[in-house]
Amino acid sequence: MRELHVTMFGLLAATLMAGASGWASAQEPIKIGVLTVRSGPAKPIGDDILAGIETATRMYGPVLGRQVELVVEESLFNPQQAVTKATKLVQQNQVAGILGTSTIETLALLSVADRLGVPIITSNSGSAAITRERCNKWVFRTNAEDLMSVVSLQELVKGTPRLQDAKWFTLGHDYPWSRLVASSVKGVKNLKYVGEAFAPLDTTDWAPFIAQARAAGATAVIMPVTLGTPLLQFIQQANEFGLTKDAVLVSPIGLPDWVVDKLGPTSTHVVSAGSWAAWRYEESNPTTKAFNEAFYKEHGRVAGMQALQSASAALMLYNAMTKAGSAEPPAVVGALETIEVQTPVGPLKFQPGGRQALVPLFLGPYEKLDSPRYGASFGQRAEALPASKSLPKPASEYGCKLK
Amino acid sequence: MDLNFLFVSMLNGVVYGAFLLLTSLGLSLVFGLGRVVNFAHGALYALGGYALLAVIRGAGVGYWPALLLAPLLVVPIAIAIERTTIHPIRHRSDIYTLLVTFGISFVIIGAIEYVWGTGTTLLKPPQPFVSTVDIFGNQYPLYRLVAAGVSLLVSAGVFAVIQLTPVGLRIRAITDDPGMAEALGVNTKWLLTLVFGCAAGLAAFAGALGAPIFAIHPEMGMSILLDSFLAVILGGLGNLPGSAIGAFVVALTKSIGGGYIADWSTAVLFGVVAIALIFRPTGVFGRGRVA
Amino acid sequence: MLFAAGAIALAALPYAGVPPFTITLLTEAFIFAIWAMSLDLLVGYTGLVTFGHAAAFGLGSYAAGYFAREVTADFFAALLVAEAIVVGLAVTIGFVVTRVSGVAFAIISLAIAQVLFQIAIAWRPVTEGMDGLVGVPLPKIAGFTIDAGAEFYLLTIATLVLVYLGLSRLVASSFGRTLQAIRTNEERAAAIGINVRLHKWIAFTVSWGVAGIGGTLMVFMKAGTTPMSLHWSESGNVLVMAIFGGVGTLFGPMIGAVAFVFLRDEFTTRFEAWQLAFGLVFVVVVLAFPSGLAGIFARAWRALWPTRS
Repeated sequence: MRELHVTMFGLLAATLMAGASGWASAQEPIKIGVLTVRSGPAKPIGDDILAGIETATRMYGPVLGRQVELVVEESLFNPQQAVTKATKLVQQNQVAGILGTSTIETLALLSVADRLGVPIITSNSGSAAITRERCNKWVFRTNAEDLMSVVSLQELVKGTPRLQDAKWFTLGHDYPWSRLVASSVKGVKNLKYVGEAFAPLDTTDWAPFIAQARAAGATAVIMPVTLGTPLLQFIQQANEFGLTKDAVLVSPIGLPDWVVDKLGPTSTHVVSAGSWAAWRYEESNPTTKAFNEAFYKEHGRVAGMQALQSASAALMLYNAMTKAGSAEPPAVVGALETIEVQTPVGPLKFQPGGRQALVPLFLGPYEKLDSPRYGASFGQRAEALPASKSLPKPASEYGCKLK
Repeated sequence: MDLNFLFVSMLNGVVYGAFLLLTSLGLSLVFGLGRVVNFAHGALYALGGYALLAVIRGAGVGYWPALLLAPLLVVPIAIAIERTTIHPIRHRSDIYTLLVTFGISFVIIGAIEYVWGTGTTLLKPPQPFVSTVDIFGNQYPLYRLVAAGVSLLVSAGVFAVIQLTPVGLRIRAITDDPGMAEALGVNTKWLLTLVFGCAAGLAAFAGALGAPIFAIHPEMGMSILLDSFLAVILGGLGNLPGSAIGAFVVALTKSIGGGYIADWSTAVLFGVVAIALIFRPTGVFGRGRVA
Repeated sequence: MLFAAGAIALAALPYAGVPPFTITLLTEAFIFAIWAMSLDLLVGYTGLVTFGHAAAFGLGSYAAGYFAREVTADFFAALLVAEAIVVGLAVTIGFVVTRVSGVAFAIISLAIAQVLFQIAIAWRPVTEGMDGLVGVPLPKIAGFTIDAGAEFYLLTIATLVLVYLGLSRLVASSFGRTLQAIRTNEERAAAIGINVRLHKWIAFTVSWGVAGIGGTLMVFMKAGTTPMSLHWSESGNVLVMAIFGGVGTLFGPMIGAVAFVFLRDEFTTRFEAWQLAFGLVFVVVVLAFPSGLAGIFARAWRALWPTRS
């Protein structure tokens, strides 16, 4: 038996050596990695992220005279898997940049970003630390971070008498983000805060937590719940228990539009305190309108929050490559620091000395549209809050010190 | 918090418990009869939800007829699965059937994603149960109460079949002593297959019944599977009355725990189960007996 | 000699033109192999099936990662700290859980892992909750930083070989044979005067300790960890690796881990319905090859050299 084992070690080694083969250096297309979730309950989020990047890529056309080839990898929404797949994109596919990650993937990639050595532009990560105390030369973000959302929440409360007088309750999943949202609501002056509950991550039956909000007499419930299926379940059950009759549901970062579509009329119970993107911004921004039309033509549905955001990240990357005149990572990173680009979420540039895009947030309620547009019957009325309000200072003031 | 809140939390627990009862019985039966720890139970539950959708959309019938038809679609699938994968390895140690069902769970969930996509479907409760009712001043969704009632009725039916019918007698005989039962001429092989199919039918029924509450998506069965496992093990694997009590213990721990200490509620549940099992390793109510 | 040759051949891979990403996957696979072997000591040798083996691995990751980030990135120091914590907890938990066996043991171990999972989420000052522990530096040995890639791969190979040698000596010893006697028939083992519980307790502790070594390597490789490393689905994964490869041999889990990592990577890249493909392969192997991949190799071996073994 011993010899058997030994031979297996040898066999394994030999097989792997035989499988080793050099590859031709990729010359023609520029490869861009899209690392996002491709299966499981969060897949619709990944679908929108990927679809947005696809449309933006088609709209932008060739970069530096070369076609852009998207290499899609499955993150499984698992941080450790995301690290492996990002490594695969860089080592095997030799991508020039990585798009498409969400918070947990981005946080995991931060630790290995220096090893990866390509620009990573996330468009779906809330955690403020990513561009504050943990900021990294390689990691950019186009969506608004959580502390910007906090400012916009306070703006929303200021401008809405109904919310000023409300009894506030935080009901969400047990994320650090949820607790940040809760403490920010508590921090608003003269606001009545009646309680909070943080449900375990695998919660499917929200009844016990809805009962808590009920018992506390909440009339405004802010819901830091995982975007996607859990959020859908939560809103449906809140509606089922009649909580939506007593209380306004406040979304701290907005609803994905496929969630709005599934909720239908129920979505009108929700107010967004600062969506990362909103397709109805097209009413004041022609770039958004052009993108919405192209997206609808390509994918047959309305461009959701994640799609608008990921498209903006892709456009930043392509413009930076064009400006740099090369797809070499250090040059692209240098160009990203200086460019200003018209995107579907408005004109974007990164904060001086930092990695966070100066991106507006979109406040407003979800409402029924007069007539369906791009196949959507409900949508958020979007009022843009400029980044000058939510992120007024340079990056170093927020704890970001780039090496 | 006050007494009313405790009452609402307990009500939530009883409703969820009634529902867990339905999923736990099948799990317990399949173990009691063939010592199969069925990891695919959650996937069969999900399949029930999708079968319901398929019937509603395909046959254009209403919710209630679809609720009855959906399990009938899942039973033959489950029987086919049993004959091709579980039956051939029943003679091996228990761990292999567990592993095979673990793999089957992947296959079913993957197939659901392949056929129906990964999206979530919300289903409205059937008329006239969309509204809420007033229970001592608390608004409570009517459909949850109806679903709990239906669960209890069906579970009672399962107990009645096992306790009162000739098939039930055979099932009890096999559970008590498979060798003896076979020696006395009970055809165990097909009975095991049949019970596996019926247990899958129960899971599918639960999935369809729960769809208007918990929504339909490919992994809808995972957390219910874990809860049902805890219920069945707490009650003693294969012990049906034990499983029933286990279901309510798990549900009440979750809902009362969730009501007072949201974030720690599942940890408390696992702590309770661990402590119970350390003192009663074969489950609080012992193992191996069906009704 | 042959064993050394095999190990050296594996160690030479990065310098033999094997693509860097294959090395990355192999590193991951060999770390999992350490973990899967530690599981096999319980499942295959002692007959204790556990659904909570992620606890030992994840705890090792957290302990080593936190220490490396906050105090020193020295590999041996971090390993020592992780082992002290993992073994310390294993001694305590093992004392209680080895009272039981069978399904009860499986579920209690699952429950313990889930409680640790919850602690990792809730103990935010140390673990940073669901955001996870990030920013773990590369390990250092004698002051030299072990680079990601070939160097880290060599460190992993060296650790794997040591763990393999240690475990194979252990299972071949009289202690190991006693464990197998307990697996075969616990009552009979007790009847002939074996202190069953003591043996199970020691096996449990050793198993956790070895898993903690794997966890330490993993946190350095990934530069961080999250509560997901303690989740029950991870415990399921390692069980799959061990049984897929073939329990009751140390080689089986190793092959299982390599197969698992490479198959998962291929399937998740190729198919959106990867669960379907993965599940089908898994079911077929369990049905057709009860002793796992190692059994397939052994069968092929016997077919080629019928006179030996």
